[in-house]
Amino acid sequence: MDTSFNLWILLMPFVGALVGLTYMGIGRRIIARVQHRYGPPIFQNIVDVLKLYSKKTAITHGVMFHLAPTLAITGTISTLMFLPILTGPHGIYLFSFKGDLILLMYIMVFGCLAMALGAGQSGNPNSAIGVSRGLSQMVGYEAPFVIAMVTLMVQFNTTSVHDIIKAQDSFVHWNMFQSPFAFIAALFAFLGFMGNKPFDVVIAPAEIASGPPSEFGGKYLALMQTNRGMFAFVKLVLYVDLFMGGAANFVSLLAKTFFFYLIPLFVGIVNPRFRTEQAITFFWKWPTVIGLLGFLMVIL
Amino acid sequence: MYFDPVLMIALPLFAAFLIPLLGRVSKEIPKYVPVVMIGFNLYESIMMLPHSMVKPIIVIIAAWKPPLGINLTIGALGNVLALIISLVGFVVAIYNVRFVQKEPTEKYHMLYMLMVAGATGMVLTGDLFNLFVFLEITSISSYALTAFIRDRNGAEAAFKYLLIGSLSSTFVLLGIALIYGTTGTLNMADIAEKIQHVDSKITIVALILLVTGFGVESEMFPLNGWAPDAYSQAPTAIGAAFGGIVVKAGVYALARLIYTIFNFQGVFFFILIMGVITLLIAEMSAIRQKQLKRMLAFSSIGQMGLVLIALGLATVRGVEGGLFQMFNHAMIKPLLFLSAGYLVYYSGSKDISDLDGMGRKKPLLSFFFAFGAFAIMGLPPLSGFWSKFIIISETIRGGFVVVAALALFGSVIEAVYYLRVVGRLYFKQPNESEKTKYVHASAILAMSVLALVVLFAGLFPDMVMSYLKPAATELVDKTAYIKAVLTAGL
Amino acid sequence: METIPLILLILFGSALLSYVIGKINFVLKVGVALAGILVSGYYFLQLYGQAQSYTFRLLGFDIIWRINPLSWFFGMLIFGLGILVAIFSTSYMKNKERVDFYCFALCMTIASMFGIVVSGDLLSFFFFWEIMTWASFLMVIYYRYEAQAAGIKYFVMSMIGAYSMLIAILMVYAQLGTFSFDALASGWSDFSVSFQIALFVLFAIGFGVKAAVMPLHTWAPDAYGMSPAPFSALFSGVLSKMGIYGFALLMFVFGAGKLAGSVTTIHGVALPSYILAWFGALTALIATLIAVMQDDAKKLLAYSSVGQLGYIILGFSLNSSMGTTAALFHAVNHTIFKGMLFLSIGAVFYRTGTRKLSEMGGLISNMPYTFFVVLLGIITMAGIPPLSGFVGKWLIYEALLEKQMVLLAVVAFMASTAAFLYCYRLIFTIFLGQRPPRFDDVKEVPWTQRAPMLLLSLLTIYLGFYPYGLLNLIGQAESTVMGLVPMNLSQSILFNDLGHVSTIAVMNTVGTVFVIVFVLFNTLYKRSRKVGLKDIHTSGEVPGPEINLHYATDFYQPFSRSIRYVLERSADRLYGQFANNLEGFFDVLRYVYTGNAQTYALFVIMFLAMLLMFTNWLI
Repeated sequence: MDTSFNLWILLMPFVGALVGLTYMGIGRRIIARVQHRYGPPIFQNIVDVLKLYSKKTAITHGVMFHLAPTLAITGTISTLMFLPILTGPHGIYLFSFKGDLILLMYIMVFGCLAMALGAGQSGNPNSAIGVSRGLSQMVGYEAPFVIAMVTLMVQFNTTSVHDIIKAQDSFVHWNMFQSPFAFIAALFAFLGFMGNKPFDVVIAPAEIASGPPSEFGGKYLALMQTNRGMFAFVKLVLYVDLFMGGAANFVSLLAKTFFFYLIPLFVGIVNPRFRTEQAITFFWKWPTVIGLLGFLMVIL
Repeated sequence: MYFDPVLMIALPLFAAFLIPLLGRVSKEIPKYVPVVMIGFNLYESIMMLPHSMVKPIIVIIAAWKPPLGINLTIGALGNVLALIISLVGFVVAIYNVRFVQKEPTEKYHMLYMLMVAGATGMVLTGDLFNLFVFLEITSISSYALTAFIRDRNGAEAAFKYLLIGSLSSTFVLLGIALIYGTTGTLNMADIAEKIQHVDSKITIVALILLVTGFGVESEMFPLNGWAPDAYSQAPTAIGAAFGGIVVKAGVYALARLIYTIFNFQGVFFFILIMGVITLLIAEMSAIRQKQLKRMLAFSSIGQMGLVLIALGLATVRGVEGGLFQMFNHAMIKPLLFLSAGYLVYYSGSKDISDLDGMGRKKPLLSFFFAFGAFAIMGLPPLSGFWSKFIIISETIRGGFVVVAALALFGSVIEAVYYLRVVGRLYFKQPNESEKTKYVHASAILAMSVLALVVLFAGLFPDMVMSYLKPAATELVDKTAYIKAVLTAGL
Repeated sequence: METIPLILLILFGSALLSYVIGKINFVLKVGVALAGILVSGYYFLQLYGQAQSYTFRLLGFDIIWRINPLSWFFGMLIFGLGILVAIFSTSYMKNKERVDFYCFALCMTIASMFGIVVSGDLLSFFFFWEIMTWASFLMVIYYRYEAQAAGIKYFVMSMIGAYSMLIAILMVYAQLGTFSFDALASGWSDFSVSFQIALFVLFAIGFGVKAAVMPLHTWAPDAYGMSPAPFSALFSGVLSKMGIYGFALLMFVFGAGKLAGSVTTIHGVALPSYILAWFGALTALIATLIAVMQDDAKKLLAYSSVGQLGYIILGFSLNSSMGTTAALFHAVNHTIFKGMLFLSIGAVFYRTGTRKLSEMGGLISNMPYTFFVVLLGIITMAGIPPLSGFVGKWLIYEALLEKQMVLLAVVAFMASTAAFLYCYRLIFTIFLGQRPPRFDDVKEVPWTQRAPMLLLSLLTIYLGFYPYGLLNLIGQAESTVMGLVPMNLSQSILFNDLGHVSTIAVMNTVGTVFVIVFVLFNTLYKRSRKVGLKDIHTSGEVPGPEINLHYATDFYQPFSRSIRYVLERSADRLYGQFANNLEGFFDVLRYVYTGNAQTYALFVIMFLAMLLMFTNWLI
C-alpha cells in the first residue's frame, strides 16, 4: 500500500501531463477534421514540449518571470495531490483525505496567479491585457461554477469530495442526472475554464499574440505547456469526480474525462469568440439562472 | 472666610459709578477696576461655596426679616451661578484690559461692571421685585454695550434688543404685580408658600407673563430674535459675556419661577418642548451663517435649548445636567468668542470665508477656537461630553427618546458647522503670509484659564458635580428652600 | 498599581508628553511615543490569561475596566499592529512637518482603542469610542488641505453612528439603571422584543459606521486614503476592528444572539441577524467590485478593507460558534494583511511619491522586499492556500454551508473571486511590467520600514501553517466571554461536520513540490539569459526605449462595462445630495430670524397670546 501510494504520488503528475497533452493533440486533430484539414499527429503536443525542454537558450525578464512556471506547476501538482483520481478498491487518493472541495477550489487558483504574475513581469503589454481579460472572465464563469459547487455541497451536506463521490454510487445517481441544473451550470463554467472558443479572448492569438505566455520561450514555455496539460487533466478529473461519481479504473477514467474534454471542444469548433464583457454578461445570465433553479430544487 | 455677600452687589455697583471719576485721574485705572471688583466677587463666591452647600446663606438687609424685608438668599444654586458669572466676568475683564481700545473706554468698563453686578444680583436675591430691578440693570447695560461700537449695525442690534427687552420687562413687571396683588408678598419663598392658596386662573396668567419675560433673556424660541444680532454686533467680549453671564441669569430666573415659585406641572413639559425647538431651529439657522460671530450666537442659542430641555425634565439628575451644561457653556462660549474676536480682528472681516489659513498665521488662537469647538461638540474628555451625556441620559430615562434623538441630531448639525470653520482655519492656504501682531498676553491668559477649566472639568467631572448636586437638589426641592428662608429670621 | 489603568496612563501620558516635549526635537518625540507604546505593550502581555478588573465611580456611574480573553484578543491586535506601525513611522515620518501632532494622535488612538476593549461598561466604552473618533479624525486631516472633505465626512458619519449607539446605551440605562455589560447580558432577555430589535438596530448602526458596513461605508475610502500611510494600516487593520469588537459584544455578550428565541428565524438565525448577514455579504461583494476599479492604491485597499470587513460581519451574524470563529480568525488575518499592504503602499509612496497605480510600474527590481511582502499580502487577501487567508475563508464558507445558507455562500464566494482582480491589479501595476524612467533610481526603503512588513509576512505564513494556536485562543474567548460552545479543534487539522483540511499537509505539499520543481528546473537546464523589460515581442513593430508599454491605465475596462450597474450608483453621492437638500431646507428655515425688530416683537406677543389661549397646557 505504502509503496504504491508513494509511487502514485511520484507518477501522477507525469500521467496527468501526458493525458492532458494527448487530449490536446486529439483535440487539434478533431478540429482539423471538422475544418477539412488533416491536422498534426496526436502526440505532436508531447513532442513539442520535449523539444522545448531540449532548447539551449532561454530568455528571462526577471525573478518573477523565472519563478512563474515553477510556481504554476507547483500549484497544479498540489491541486492534483488533493484530488481523488481513482476510487474504489484500487483507488488512487493521494492526499485527498486531507483536504476538501473548498481547498481544491482555492488551491487551483494558485497556479493561475503565478502565471499571471510571470506574465506581468514579462513587460509585454499583450500579456497584461491577456491577464486582465482572463481575470475578468473568471469572475464571469465563477458565478455558475460557484452556484453549482454550493448546490452539490448543500445537497449532500458535505464539503468532502469523497462524500460527494460516495453519494453517486450507481449510474443513475450520478450528479449529472441527480442534479441536472447544477450540472448544466457547471458545464457552462467548464467552457470558461477550458478557455476554448468562444471564451478564448484571454489568449486570442491573432489579437494579442497569445496573451500571457507570449514572452515565454524555451524551458519556460516547456514547463508552462506541461502545466497546461496537467491542469486540463486536473479539471477533467474534478468534474468526473463531482458529476460522474469518479472512476474505478483507468479505462473508465479516460473515457469519462475524454467525454468532458469533448464538450468544450465541440462547442468551440462551431462558435466565434466572445468579447470579454460579452462573455461575462453571458455567464451571468443563463448559466446563473439555471444554477439558481438548481438551488430551488435542492432547497425545496 | 467670606465678607458680607451684599458687598458682591454693592461694591461693583459703587465701583461702576466711581469709574468715570477715576477715569479723570488716569486713563489706565478704569481698565483694572473690573478685574479687581469681579475678582473680589470670584473670591467671595468661592469662599461662600462650602457654607452655602450645607444650607442657604440668608442675608437680611436693614433688619427686616423675611418675608417682609429684602433679603439675599444664597443657596447652593445661587452661589454656583454667582461663581460661574464671576468667573466668566473675571476672565472677560482680563481680556478687556487690552482688547477695548475704542473710546470711551471708561464707559465701557462701567457698563460692563453694571452688567455683571446686575446678573450677580439676579442670582443672589431672594426677592422677586429685586430680581426685576437687577434684570433691568443687566438689560439696560446690555443694550448700551450692544451699541458700543457706534455704527449702523450696532445701533440696529441694540434697538432690536431694546425693543424686545422692554417688552419682556413689561411682562415681568405685570407678572410680578399680579403675584403681589394676589399673595401680598414679594419674597420668593413666601410667594411659593402662599401661591398654593390662590386661584390658579390668576397665577397661571402670572406664570405666562413671567415665562415670556424671562424667556427673552434665556433665549427661548421664539423670543430670542434679539440674540443673533446682539451677539454679533456687540464687542466680542460682550458677546462672550452675554453667553456666560446675562443668559445664565435669565435661565436662573426662569428656573426659579417654574421650580420654586409656581406649582404647575405642565410647564415642565412645555419648557422641554420649547427647548428642543429652540435647539433645532438655532442649529439649523447656524449652519449657513456667513459671519463667524453670528454663527456662534446661534450655537449659543442651541446650547441654551439643551439647558431648557434639562430644566424641563424636572428631575434632580436632569437639573444637574442642565447646570453642568450651563457651566460648560459659560466656559466654552466665551473661549470661542474671545478667540473668534481676535481671529476676526486679524482677518479684518467678520466673514467665515475670510478666515482661510488662520491656523498657520495664528496657531494659538486657532488652537483655542478648535479646542472650544471640540468641547462644545461634546467630545470626551472635555467637559461638554459629560453635561450632554447626563442630559440625554435623563431625557431618555424620562421616556422622551424622540426628544433625545432630535437633540442629538442638532448636535450633528453643530459638529458640521463647527468643523467647517475649524476646517477653514486649518485646511486652507493662507491668503498672504504677512506677519501680524502678536496676541496680547492678557487675552492669552483669559483663554488659557477657560481652556484649562474645560479640560479639568472634563477629566474630573465629579469635582464640578459635587457642587452642582446640592444646587440641583435645592432647585427641585422647594419645600426645603421655603423652609430655609422663612425660618431664617427666627 | 493596577495594570489596566497603568497602561492607559502610560499611553495617554506619552501622547501628551510627545506633543509637549516634541517641540524640542524629532528623536525625543518619536522616542517618547515609541517607548510609551512599547512599554504599555509589555504590560499588556503580562495581562495574558488574567482576569483583572478595576472599578471606580464617576458621576455616580460605575466604571468598570476589565480584561478577559475577548478583550485580550482584540488588545493583541491593537498592540501587535500598533507597535509595528510605530516602528514603521519612525523612518516614514522623518523630516515631515508636525510629527509631534502625528505622535500625539497615534498614541491617543491606540490608547482609546485599548480603552474600548478593556471597558466593562457602556459609559466608558462610549467615552473611549468618542476619543478614538476624534483622535483618528486628527490623523485623517494630517495632510491639511485636500483632507478637509474626507475628514469632515468621516467625523460626521462617525458622530451619527456614535449618537445612534448613545441612544441605545441610554435606553439600556433607562431600563436597567446601570451601564455594566454583565447587567445588560443578564437583563437583555427581559426586554420586550421590539425593544430588543430597536437596540439591535441602533447598536448595529453605531458599530456599522466604524466597521464600514455598506451603506455606512462612504467615509472609509476617503479617510483611509487621506491619512498618512502607517496610520492607514492601523485604521483599516485595527480601528475598524473596534466596530467588529462592537458586533462581537452586541451579538454574544449583550445577547442580541438570543433574539433567535423571540422572532422569526431563517436557517436558525434570527431575522435581524439574517438581514445583517446580507448586509455583510453584499458589502463584501459590492465593495470588492468597486475596489477593482480604483486607480488610487490606497482607495483600492480601502474598498477592499470594507469588503473584508463585510466577511467578518457575515461571520458574526450567523450566530454560531463556527461563524464566530471564522469572523475572529478573519479579523486577525485582515489585520495582518491589511497591515502588510498598507505599509507596503506607504513604503512605495515614501520612495516614489505617488499612489496612482497608473503612474507606477516595474518596481520589483528596485524594491524586492516590498514586492515580496505585497505578494504574500495579496495571496493571503485572496485566500489562496497555503497562507493564513485561506483558513479564514474556509471557516467562513464552512460556517455558511453548515447553516445551509446557499445564497449567502454564493455571494461570499463571488466576492472572493472578484478580489483576485484587484489583488492582481495592485501587484502588477506597481511592481511588474515596464518601469517609467523617472523611477529608475528608486531605492528599497530603510530597515525600520522593512522589518515591520516582513514580520507580518512571517506571521501570515506561520498562521497558514499552524492556525490552531490562534483558534484555541478564539475558542477560549468564545467559551469564557461569548457564551458559545467553541467548535471542536484538533491540533493538526481544520474540521467540522462537513469537511476538513489539514493546513500542515497543504503547506508541506506546496512547499515540497515547489522545492523539488525548483531544484530540478534550475539544475537540469541551462541558466537563462536575462534581458531587459523593453526587449519584448511586439509583432515586428519595434518601439523605441523611450516608449513605455506598461498597461496600467483603466486596467479592467471590459470588466467595468459589465458591472456598470454597480458603479453608476453611489451611496456617497446620494448622501451628499441629501445633505445638500437638508441644508437648503435649513437655509429656508433660518429666515424665521428675519432681522426685523417688528417681527421679533410680534413673535413675543404671539408667544404670549398663544400661551394665554392654551393655558391648560401649562397646568
